Amino acid sequence: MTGATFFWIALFAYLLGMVLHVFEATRRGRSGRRTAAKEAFGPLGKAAAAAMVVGFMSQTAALLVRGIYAGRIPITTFFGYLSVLSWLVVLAYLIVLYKYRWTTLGAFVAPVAFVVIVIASLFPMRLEEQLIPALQSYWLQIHVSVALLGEAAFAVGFAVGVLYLVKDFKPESVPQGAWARSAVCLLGSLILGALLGRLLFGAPLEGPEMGAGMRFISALGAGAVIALPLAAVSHPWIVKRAKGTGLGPFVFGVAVSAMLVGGVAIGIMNTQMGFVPSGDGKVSVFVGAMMLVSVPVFLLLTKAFLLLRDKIPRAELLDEVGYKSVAVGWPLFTVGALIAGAIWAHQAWGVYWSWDPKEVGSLVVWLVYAVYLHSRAKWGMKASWCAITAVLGFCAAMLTLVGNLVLGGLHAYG
Amino acid sequence: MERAGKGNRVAAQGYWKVPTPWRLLNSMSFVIGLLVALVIVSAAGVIVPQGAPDAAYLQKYGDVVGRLILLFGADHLFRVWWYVALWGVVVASLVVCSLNRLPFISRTVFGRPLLAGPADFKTYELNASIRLPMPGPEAMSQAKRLLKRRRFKWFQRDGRSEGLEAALAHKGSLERLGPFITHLSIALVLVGGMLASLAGSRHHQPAYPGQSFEVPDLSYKESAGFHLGRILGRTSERELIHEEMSFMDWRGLPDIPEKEVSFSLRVDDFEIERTADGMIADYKTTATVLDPDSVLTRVIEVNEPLVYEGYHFYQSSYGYASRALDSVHLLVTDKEGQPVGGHLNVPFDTPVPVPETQLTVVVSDFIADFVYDIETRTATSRSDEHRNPAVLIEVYRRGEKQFEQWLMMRGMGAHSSKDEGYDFRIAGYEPVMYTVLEVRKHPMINVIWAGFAATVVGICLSFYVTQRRIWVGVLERGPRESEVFLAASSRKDKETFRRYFENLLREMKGVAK
Repeated sequence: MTGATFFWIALFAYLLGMVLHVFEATRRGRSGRRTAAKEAFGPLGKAAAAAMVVGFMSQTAALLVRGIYAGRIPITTFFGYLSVLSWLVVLAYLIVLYKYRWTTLGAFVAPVAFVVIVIASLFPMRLEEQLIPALQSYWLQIHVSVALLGEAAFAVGFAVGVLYLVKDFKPESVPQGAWARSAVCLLGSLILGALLGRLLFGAPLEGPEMGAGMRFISALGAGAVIALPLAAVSHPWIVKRAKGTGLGPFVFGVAVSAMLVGGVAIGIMNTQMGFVPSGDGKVSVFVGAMMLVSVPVFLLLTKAFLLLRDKIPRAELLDEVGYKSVAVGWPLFTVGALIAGAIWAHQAWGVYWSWDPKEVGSLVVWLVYAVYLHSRAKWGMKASWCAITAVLGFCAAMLTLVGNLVLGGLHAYG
Repeated sequence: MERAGKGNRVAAQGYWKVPTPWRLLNSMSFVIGLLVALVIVSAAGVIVPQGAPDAAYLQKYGDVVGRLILLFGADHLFRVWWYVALWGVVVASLVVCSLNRLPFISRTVFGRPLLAGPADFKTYELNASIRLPMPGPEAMSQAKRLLKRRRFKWFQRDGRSEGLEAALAHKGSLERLGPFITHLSIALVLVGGMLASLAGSRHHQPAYPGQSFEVPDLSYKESAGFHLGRILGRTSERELIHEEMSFMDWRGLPDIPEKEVSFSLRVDDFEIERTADGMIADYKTTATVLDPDSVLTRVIEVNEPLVYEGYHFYQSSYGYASRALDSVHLLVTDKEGQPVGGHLNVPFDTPVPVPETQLTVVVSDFIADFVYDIETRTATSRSDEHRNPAVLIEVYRRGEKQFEQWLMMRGMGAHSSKDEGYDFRIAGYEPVMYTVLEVRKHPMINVIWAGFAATVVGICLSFYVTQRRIWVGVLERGPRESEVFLAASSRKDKETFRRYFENLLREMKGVAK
């Protein structure tokens, strides 16, 4: 068997693991108030964990084959990088599973690992024979692999953050009408954003051969710059009677998860069907389509998360695992992405910091987690704001990871 | 108890009434707001392309948004004064917070607070009391033995208060220094970075193998005024590079102003290494430092700059000379079309006899992008690119010039003369490559490295060391009976520490048996 076969086995094992985990977590009946720390594995949970272990071992074999063939850690292409990232996310999941015997987390981490490995599979698997001169340095291994370890820990923090927001949500105390107002607010922001996007950014964002539908999607994407902050600001104000019920943070958590899934869906559609036109407006079309796909995913996820609520362990455990993932990830990210990156840049480019899009993106990720750490010190774990920053931090890390595909810059290696 | 830093107390008193700058900079809410602002602004700088011409923003973002971008300088965001100022506020806040917390931190790191009476022990979440059938001093020494075995440091007061013999076992106190070191070292990196951007300088230096150049005096670029102009003005980095690159002429060497320089650099060789299948493996410039005191030869590669006397020489770029060649491969045929003398390798500007004939050929000129003006009868180059390469060959017989003619790579060959009918064609040529070295000085680089090292130390202390304290108090309850009070606190991993404390209690109770 070749490395690619092992890779595909891993991909489908993660898919199976994800489906089983979600089934196990959302199953009605035996929900109860089990303490998660000693939660016994049900047969479904065992099967899900077994699928993840099989996938992990298969991917380990794939990475070993690739690494031995290349003679280095295979992280120099997008395929390699994302593949190792998904492997590390599963490793982190297995560690948490072993330590806390907590299968519900799998329903959140397995999708992250699956999404990452699917994105990896969209990139060419070819292994370059010869690294370009700029990458021929031992700093490559240090810079990239340490940053990767940090991002894998952030992925767990993301999953725990979403769990916290779901746990914190009390649907029984949401007053009548708040749901409807929330929905109107989200939809209204989307429509208003699209209109303003069209008005402000106008025609230059549209390619010459776009049909009316594509133009609408493009305007929606351009309007996301306006719609997202608009929704973020207006939502708490509009549903203010639902204060303390956690509705706002819950909606945020579901929306972010939905957009992540939407982004992957559009990515797959694009590689298979060439959905997004190249040239002018490709970014706005991508974002617009992603937002459209997010709407049905949002509804599905809301339903799934509500089924899941009772099985999520107590907030203290969530906080502990969430904090630990940041406490492991943030120092690694600081050392790997920022410090090792600066030292290498000094050596290769003659400048340790050049405000390159990827550098600034990493700085933004670093700052978001700095906000997390300070907020936790100030308001303690009870603040859902901490969970929100943990979720945002991982999203920023993922955007930074793939951002140079669109934005270019010094890090544009492909 | 330990959470009550001075900053928190200030916040609790409601600083909004008197928001003096010091109090504001010290407030955690303000810091969080500042970080959020930096996140938003920096992310905007990633999304909006930097350094494009003004018209590009108006075209891409429309009139309204485009004008806003230009107004706020978001087209060169990372150099605009208010963005730099935002980081300045971060530095001020880092310093103020650190200074404000210094007395508190030194107390918690070096202080050895003891608990005065049994009631104090109850104020801790983790506390317990055990009766042991042994005299007080023995109970205390048993506790000391147990905790020392767990690598705790032991501090015990002489004498008693309220009949209580008190001690403190502690470890990992350096944790409390972690945030302090991290904050100050980040401030150091930021200040170092800002000063370096005011004092740093760079220069792109093209050179052909065999040429040497005096290392340019970069001091005019090191003046604060020059760089402040960049921050306050609108000169972008790209324009500067462009300005530096633009004065490369065909021989590539710019006029270097006469200034006092300490040494020169000679480029000995430049080569592009390729793999068997033609992919570029490396760019290598061999260079020699010519200093009255020493001679040093090094190979400069992409990841391996040459460092000498504070100057760094980086492999930056390369190019092909547009008016010179290394050699030309000539193919000479006779009038029957039979090759004469095989492939002839003719070095630039050097006479080479053509075997089996009495002819001598010289390649005396080269044009990269050949164009011939019929009116003025002159040959010129349209560009520096090798788009239409042509060489001027001169053919001699017994020292007498027969003719000269431009031969184009992609054109027809030339006949040497009608009666003998030798035909000359270019089969290929070896261009002359020049290397472009980037010369840089990094005046504050050691400050930055020191800041990074301190940041790593600070982060390790903050995240991977935990301050744990266990207070022990012993009261005599009879001639052979004593009561041991225990209280414990840990900064992190409270769940784990609870189990740790329970184990300790179990072991203490075991001592009695």
